[in-house]
Amino acid sequence: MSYDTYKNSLDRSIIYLAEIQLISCSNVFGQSPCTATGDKCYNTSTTCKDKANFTKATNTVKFCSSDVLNIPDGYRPYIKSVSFVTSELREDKTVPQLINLTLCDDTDSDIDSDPYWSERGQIDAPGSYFKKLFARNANIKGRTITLKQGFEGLAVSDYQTVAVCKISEFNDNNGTVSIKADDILKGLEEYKYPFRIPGVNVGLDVAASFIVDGESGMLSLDAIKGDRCRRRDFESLYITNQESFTDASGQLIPGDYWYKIYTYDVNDLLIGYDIINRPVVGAENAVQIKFMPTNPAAYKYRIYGRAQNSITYYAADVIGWQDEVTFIDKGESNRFPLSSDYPQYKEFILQSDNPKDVNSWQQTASAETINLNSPSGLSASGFIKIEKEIIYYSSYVLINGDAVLQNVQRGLFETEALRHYAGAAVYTILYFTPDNPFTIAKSILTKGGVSSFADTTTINALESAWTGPDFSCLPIIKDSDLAKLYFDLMGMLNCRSWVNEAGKITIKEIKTETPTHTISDDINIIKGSGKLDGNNKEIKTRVVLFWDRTDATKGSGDKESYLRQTAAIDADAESENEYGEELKKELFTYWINSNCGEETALNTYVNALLEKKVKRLRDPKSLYTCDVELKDSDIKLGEIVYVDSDDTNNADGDNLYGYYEIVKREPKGNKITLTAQYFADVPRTITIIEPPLINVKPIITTRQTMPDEIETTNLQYFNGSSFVGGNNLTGKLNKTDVTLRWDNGYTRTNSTIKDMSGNTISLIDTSSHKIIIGYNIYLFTANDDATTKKSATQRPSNSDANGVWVKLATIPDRHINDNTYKYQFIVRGLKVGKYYDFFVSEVMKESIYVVDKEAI
Amino acid sequence: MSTPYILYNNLVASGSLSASSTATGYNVNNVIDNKTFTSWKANSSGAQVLQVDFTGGKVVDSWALVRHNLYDAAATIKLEGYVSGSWVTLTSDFTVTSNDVIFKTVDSSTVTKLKLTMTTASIAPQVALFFAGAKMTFPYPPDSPFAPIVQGVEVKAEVSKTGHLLGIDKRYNPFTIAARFSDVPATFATQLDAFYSACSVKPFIWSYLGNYFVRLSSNYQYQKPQSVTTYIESFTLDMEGAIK
Repeated sequence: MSYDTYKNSLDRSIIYLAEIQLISCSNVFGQSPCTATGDKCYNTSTTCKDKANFTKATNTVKFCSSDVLNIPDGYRPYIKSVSFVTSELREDKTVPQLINLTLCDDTDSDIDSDPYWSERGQIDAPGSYFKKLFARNANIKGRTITLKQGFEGLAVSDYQTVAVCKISEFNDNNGTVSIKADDILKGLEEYKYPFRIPGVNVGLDVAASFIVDGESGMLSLDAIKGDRCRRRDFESLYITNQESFTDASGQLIPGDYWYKIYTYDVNDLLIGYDIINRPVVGAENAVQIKFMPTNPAAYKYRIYGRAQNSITYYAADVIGWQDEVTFIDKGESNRFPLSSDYPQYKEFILQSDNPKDVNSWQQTASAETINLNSPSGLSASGFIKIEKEIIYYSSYVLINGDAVLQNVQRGLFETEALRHYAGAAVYTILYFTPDNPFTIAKSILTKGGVSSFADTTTINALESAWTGPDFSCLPIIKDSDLAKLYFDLMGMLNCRSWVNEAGKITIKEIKTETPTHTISDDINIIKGSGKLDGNNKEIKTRVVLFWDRTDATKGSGDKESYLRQTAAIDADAESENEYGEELKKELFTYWINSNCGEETALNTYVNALLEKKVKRLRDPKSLYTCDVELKDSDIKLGEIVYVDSDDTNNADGDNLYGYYEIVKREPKGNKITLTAQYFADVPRTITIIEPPLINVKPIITTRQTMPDEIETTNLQYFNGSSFVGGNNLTGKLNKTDVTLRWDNGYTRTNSTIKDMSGNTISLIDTSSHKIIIGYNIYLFTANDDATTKKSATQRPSNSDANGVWVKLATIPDRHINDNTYKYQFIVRGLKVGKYYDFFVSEVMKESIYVVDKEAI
Repeated sequence: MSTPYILYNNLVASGSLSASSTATGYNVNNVIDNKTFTSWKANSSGAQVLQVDFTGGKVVDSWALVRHNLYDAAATIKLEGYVSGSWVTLTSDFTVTSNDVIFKTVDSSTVTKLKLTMTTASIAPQVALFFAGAKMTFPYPPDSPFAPIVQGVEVKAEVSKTGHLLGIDKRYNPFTIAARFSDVPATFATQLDAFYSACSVKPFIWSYLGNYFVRLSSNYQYQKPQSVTTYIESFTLDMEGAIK
């Protein structure tokens, strides 16, 4: 019989299995490579006598319920009791799951646990099983324990995993043993960043490395012999056309500038749209962007600038792969970068102790290196922190046992490249360039050593389906840990993550969905178990998000380290007729930053995210707790269910027959205590406010829930004299810049919607063209120059065999500039003679602007 | 009417064990560790042998197998003893009728070796415990009334708010055997003392109206039978164990 057959039968005996994975050694004592002599070990790390040659293997010890009739082969019937609580899902965090096991201790002959029993063993061996197990495996803390549930008579292979945890505590209570195990995700808390690389220190003194604008700056440095100075006045990146936004004195006009960085491969093919960077020009009268290339195939970058929200100009080319590019726009014109100028700076080394004498400085072409005393724990390339400075290295070589870091870049992320002396500690730091947030989530799980527990099917599907902005993270140089980063990431994705009943780390978006189960008084809820908690303490009427982190040296909760803050407010909830006060929740995120995409797209994303949070929090979300029988164990954590019980009432006194989300689940023998949270899905009017920043006007946008999916028609491109093409554009390109345009959008099932005032707006009426935003523009570059090989479906695909789809942008409505064709967009930097396809996708489904006005 | 037997002094544990073959993870010495969850298993079917070599002669009048698969394996079993330089059949080939405890009495023999041969068709034989030795024979059956075995089952039923039966969780308690003996010859007290001394914590075989692998109950208190007459007035044995 199957597991389900037993589970659904009226009577059955529940049996638990617990499997603990211990670390053992696969060597044979005294035989190569083991060089140990004397009394033999037990092939465990604790008893090892030749740790240098310890060869890691796994040894699983297995236990089953003590009241089992037919003991499964290989299992010891020691489990006296099991209690476990699955994760508890709360608004902004997941409370980890927990297992408590009580086991009987026993005498043991050691036959199964002593690899050398035949030489020294005895049937009446002294000591008890667990006392010896703990003594031989002192490192049992942190080992994985898998708890399985089944029934008397069920084959072991059909048992179901109900929890996978890591052992956090074990105690011997003279005759019984208690083992406590925590959630796998809780283990992420153990990975603190930055963390010191054990045993790795600075091997030789490291000179300071200054960056100055010119010679006068160099000569005024407080430098000593051996210090380096990088002069930026030799940099060769300048804007290249006549659009110089200079004032009468020739200085760049302060304001809001945009730079788009297109990435090309060695064949000059556009392969990515790496970064949109938005610096604000301040008193220094220069725009400076540092960006980290993310695409390993990148060969060249073409940078476009856009100033004062109006004029686009070709800014610069950067030729050649560089690990980091600094681009400075001083508003000068007609100066072209030359590839022969690479690198774009000059570096000097002070040859004496007199930095004020220009003759003391000698130019050097040699890249800086740093000596560390050991390569242990160093990655092949990456970032490290020495004292307060962040340093990048492209590789290291071993010289006399030292790891000599190559192509070192000093003083990154606004840290100072100061002197460091031999013996200084070396730290590894965490840093994420803009990427798909689910790719980042997988990376965090990998760094935390738990990727093997990830529900890869679910996470990969979310990764593939992601159409929102990339996420990024400044270097973590202030105390943080992987758990904090991971759950911040989940919160910003409007998702939850937990270890599910199958022992897998899963991720799920918080949203309503068709319930899979109904929990009713009649056939599910055990008599006397229902309980309702009004749960008023979580009510919030506004949620404020601090984002775009600019200062990595400050803590994550320091508001001054964020450039942006956005608030979502439910004004009705704060009115005198309702709560009559501001109930505020403040959130801070590492993950949404200005280098993640265009400002409009980021604003749209943040606004939508906060809207969802306020909608969820503005009403009390009652918690209904009840017990169900084992037959209902298919109701899993995170599922949406109907609850039909007279324990809950609506205003009319009827059962509050509504959606609930299972947020906690506690199996207790053949009962499961479920905590279900009321999942209101009522349309609300939310106001988004972004407080003013430098040179940015405040915008208030009132939004409401989105109608059906919207499509566009008649995608065309401008061939120099007229617009041609249809929805499917294909042609051999004869221009480097292509202007695209397309018709207004329309909904698939509705042609009109109502605005906030109740006025009907036609979605295909040209007069209402401002209502739609968020078109995604995709570019397809064919692999083959000779023929056009577009995607078979003409839709963007991550795995198109015929070429590469690149998402160029999400278009805000400000690009509407034609009365006939309402949407227009220019793609620059393409290759003449190459085949390209373009695709304009459906807009985002989540939101729609109804009124858009400047205010205050 | 037969009387109860107890086989507790397992001579197999005092000998040197060997097996014709052994599957990985099923050490032959598991058959003497008094644990039913560890076992010896041959690595194939056919005729498989467990052999014990003693130092000197040992008196054997009974033997037992606990937690085995010999019924599932449709095995025929034979026990031979090495007596005065040659193998003698102590128990002739027989077919196993269940996977429950096997207990056999044989003519008392002094042996220097024992050889248990299990012949199976397609399933490798597996045995958790192999007992052999001199049994303790009670002079009389237990007093009436006597229940051969008392099996306890705890049942926990859950009902819905409207009264529907939702499910039942069934948990088995260890079975118990309580035997009271009256007017036993006082000379038997010596054997009882030796038995209790050996089995206060160790399990043993109880054979009376069925064969059981049992231990003295955890709360059992041995009250040494005393009598000024030639008969012990009464004593009890409280035993418990797992079914099968």
